[in-house]
Amino acid sequence: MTAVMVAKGLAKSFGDLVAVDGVGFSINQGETYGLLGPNGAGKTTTISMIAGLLEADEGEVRVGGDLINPRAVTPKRRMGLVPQELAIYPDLTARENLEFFGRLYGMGGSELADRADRVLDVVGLHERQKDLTKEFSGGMKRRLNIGIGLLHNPELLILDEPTVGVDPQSRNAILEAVEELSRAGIAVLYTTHYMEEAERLCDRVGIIDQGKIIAEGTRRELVEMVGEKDRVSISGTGPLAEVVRQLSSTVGVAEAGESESGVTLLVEDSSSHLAAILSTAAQAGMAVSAVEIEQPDLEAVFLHLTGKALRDV
Amino acid sequence: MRNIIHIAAKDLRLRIRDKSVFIIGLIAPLALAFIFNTVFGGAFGDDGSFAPDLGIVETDADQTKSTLEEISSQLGGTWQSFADPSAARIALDEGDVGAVFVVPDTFDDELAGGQIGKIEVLGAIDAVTSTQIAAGIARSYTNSLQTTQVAIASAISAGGDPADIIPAAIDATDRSLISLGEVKADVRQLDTNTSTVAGMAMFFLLFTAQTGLLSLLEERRDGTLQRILSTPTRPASVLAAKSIVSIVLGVFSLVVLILAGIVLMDANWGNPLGVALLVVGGVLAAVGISAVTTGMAKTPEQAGNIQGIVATVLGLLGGAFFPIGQDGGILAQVTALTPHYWFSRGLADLAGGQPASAAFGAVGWLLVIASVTSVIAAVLTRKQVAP
Repeated sequence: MTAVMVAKGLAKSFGDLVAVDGVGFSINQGETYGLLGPNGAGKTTTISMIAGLLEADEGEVRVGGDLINPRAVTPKRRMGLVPQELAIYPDLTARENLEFFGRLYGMGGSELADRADRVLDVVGLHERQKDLTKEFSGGMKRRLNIGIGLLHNPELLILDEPTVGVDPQSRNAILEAVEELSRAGIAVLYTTHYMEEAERLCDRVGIIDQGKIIAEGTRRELVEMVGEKDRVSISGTGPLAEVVRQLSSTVGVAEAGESESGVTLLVEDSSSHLAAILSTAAQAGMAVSAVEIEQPDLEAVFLHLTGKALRDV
Repeated sequence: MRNIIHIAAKDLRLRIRDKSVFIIGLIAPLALAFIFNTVFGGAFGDDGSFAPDLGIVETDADQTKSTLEEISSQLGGTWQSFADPSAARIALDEGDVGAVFVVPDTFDDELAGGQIGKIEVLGAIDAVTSTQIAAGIARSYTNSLQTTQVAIASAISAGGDPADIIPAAIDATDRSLISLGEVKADVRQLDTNTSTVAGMAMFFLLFTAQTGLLSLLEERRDGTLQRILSTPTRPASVLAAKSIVSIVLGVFSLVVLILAGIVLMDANWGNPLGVALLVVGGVLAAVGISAVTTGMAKTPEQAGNIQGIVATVLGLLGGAFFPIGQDGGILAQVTALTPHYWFSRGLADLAGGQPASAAFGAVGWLLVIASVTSVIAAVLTRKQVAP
């Protein structure tokens, strides 16, 4: 895998406040990296340094191998930024907004026109391209906000909470667009408060708190890191006490107990052990009618690591 | 460089679309020209000099009456006589006359006896300039009489023949008074509609010039500046683009104002090349000052408030509202620090068919003001383009 963006030892202080303290991570081509953290954790400062908007006190960011800082020009051609707040001109049409930012990236002529058409299709605004954006709904503005970041076909796309305040339909369209980008090989840096978005989109997640990345990895790796287990509920009839006794000694099962409809288990990596568990239950005389698996989510990981629920911060 | 043009073009397009370019570039200067024409149009002569309407209450002091009428007639306004002060006051109240001299019947007789009486000036409340001019004429006349008296006394005591000395002294007195009208071209920047319009134009320009630069703070507030800076665009390019927009709008509005002055007020601005240089210098100075005030502010609203204060103070110091600092001293030096002064001075230097080179000095000082303020602004606005 080729690393499109590499951040090493980023640090930034504002007076006595240490906003970012030694943050480092990389994003590979076609990978979506989620940066999760409570407000004030240092997400925006980190993104600002990666986007070349803010000079780092220490450390460095390289995009496509080129060092990036507020004075850098070349590496900024390789990245697109979708800020959390809408950054579009209400008195320009959707197409004019796209064309203006496209020109700043050095695009022009038929290349710009073709890319604008393509992006308008992707964000579903082709039919409204000649309308002033002040007449758009919030969701349409959000989609255009993202489209501007995509216009120049960046290698790295930075999305800072792109679905805040978006209606469910537009939100789904945005998530589908991000998935499409990932499939197209674009590296995506994604911050969100919505855990389900991170779970759906992100190949890897970094959890940042108090200016430091306190955990990083795939969802499975993070879950294992904090010791969270899958909850497996098996519905059925039979000698449930015996079933529980035998399942308790099955590999991967940490806890087992009876429930109203059958038995409930806490299992490490249920996908690896489910077949053995069901076989054991059947051998113990249980007639299984349904199986439900609840895997621990990033919300639980986040709560475990930071002591705060993500939605509350 | 290309991004500077793209940003400036986008800003101008937005200004056209929200119609502010028409308000700033067309409606405001035309409205100003209309106001100037309404306020000053009827008061100025064909050559742009002020033409006060003056009068006198009938008096037995024929010699003084004749002299005052002769001086007043050279200023180009009307001259009326009134039977008594009451009639004069009615005419003043009705706006038929700007100021009226009241000369005691015994003035000439007392003068022959070595005494100089008092000349009273009645002024209309709405004709301050006419009243000041009339008071100045009266003061100059009595001062010159005192000077003549001293000169005659000195000549006679030195053994001169009174029969030769007195007519020569009277002749000299008349000529010195008449010269009041003749020197007006030299002080044109202080007394004419051109100076008033020039001062107000520069006052107005300070607001116009800020328009482009204000968008820097607006874009910062709206988040689009961050987005621009995330593209391959240097912060200095953003500042340059905003300054270009201010310059374009400033030149446009000033040209409209000047053309409106020609059409509505028959103003004679002077050599076109010289005026063009002054316009460019004035606009650059105004943009420099506006950039400083923008750099001092954190929000567009704050920048607008600061600019209002700065424009008013500079307007007062620069003589946009009324001439100051003519008597020298600290005010004269402070006045010379304002672009208003040099813009008016440059136009005055071009008066009377002078070539464009006559304005080089004023243009140079305007460029000095532009340079100094630009350096200060460059330091102050750095934080505006920082995240």
